[in-house]
Amino acid sequence: MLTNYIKKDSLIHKLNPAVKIFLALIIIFLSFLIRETYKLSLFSALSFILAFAAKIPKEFFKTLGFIMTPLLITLVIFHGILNPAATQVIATFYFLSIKLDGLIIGFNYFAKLLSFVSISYILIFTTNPADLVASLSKLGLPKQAAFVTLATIQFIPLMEEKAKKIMDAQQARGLRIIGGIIQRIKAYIPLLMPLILSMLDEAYERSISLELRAFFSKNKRTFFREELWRKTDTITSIILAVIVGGIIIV
Amino acid sequence: MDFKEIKKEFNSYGLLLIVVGIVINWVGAFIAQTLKLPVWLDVIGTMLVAVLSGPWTGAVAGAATNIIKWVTFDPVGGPYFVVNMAVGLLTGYLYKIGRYNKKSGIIDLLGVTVALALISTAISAPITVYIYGGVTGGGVDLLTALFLGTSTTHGLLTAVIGSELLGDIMDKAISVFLVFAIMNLLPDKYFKSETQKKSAVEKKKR
Repeated sequence: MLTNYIKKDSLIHKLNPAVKIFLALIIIFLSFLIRETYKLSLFSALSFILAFAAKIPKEFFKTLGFIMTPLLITLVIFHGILNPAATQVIATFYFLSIKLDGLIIGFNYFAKLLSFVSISYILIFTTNPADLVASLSKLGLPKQAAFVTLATIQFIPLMEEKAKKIMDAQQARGLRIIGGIIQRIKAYIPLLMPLILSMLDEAYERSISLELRAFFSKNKRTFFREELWRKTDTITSIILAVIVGGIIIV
Repeated sequence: MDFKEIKKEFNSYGLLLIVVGIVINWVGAFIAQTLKLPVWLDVIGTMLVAVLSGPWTGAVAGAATNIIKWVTFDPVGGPYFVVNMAVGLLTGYLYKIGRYNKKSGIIDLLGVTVALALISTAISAPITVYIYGGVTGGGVDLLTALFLGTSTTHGLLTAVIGSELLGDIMDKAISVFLVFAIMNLLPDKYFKSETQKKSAVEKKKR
């Protein structure tokens, strides 16, 4: 599924989406600028604490482990063994030698990736996409962009349904979809074209209905979803700003 | 640049095409990522939108794809939105000047493939090296490791450029030919430029 939102009742979930967006953007921006490994690790630690505060530690660490473990392995192999710039050899097996400075570079890149991946997962796991888009459009996101984001989330299940229908129709016409791997790949071609064409048809029809509902009207809009700015939002954003500022200075 | 022309691209049909483009990109990228293929397959929708609607809608579809991919299954894909944007712009431009359309021959198609592969490697290789240290978690990493392991004189940037160029040529060849096949199947009403031309002709007749 396209959305990874996990519904829970916690302080982080109740926080105004704007706070979470700003926190995520600032940490992502900083993790590209900062070079020290320990500062990057502190940013990741902040995200881990937020995961516990949001009561989603199990899902959070499972997803993070699934994504980050292959990256860690490849980074260690790349920089620890293959990087030609590294020189300090600490161990040698046959013709492969592990280099200390290469390992340090590898772990630095890993810390950078971890810090911005974990904060983006906090944002995704704890914010309903509809709320996210609503608060973004209140902050000045054009309505076209808001529409595209939400329509994309709607379109994926629609497409799955269509794919199923087309598959049934083609099987009724005698398409073999069971068999070896080449047979299965071949079977996808008569599915792909009708699917793309029917999606374009859908887009054409929807664009007409969009025009009929005066989407491009220039009058002021009202919002169905109301996100209030509470006192806790102010307090939390001050605390988070202090923590992030502290990590930069340390 | 003509801003009115750009604004015209983003009408209701353009917006819906962006949505379809994002979905097509997303599915392709998801397949490539889960099977660890040495290609990305995330520009098919971008190119289709760029051809059907215009370069700027293509660029927006590409950028949005990378951002949505980034928040769903590919946490390292974010900064590559520039690559996808460039592909959208270039494809739309090539369609406008008539190098890449329904009637283009095999030489034109190969030229388009090479141009797209070159521009995406030129933008993505520095991102891969300077932000991620050469590793992105896709199938291309294996190629990079192979280049890095077999040559002792070249650095990381050379290895990444080599592997990404190889992957990009395969990726763009698949996308260019697939979009060409789709273009030939589509009736004229889906091509915004064609319908605009037709309505202009009809207006003149009146």
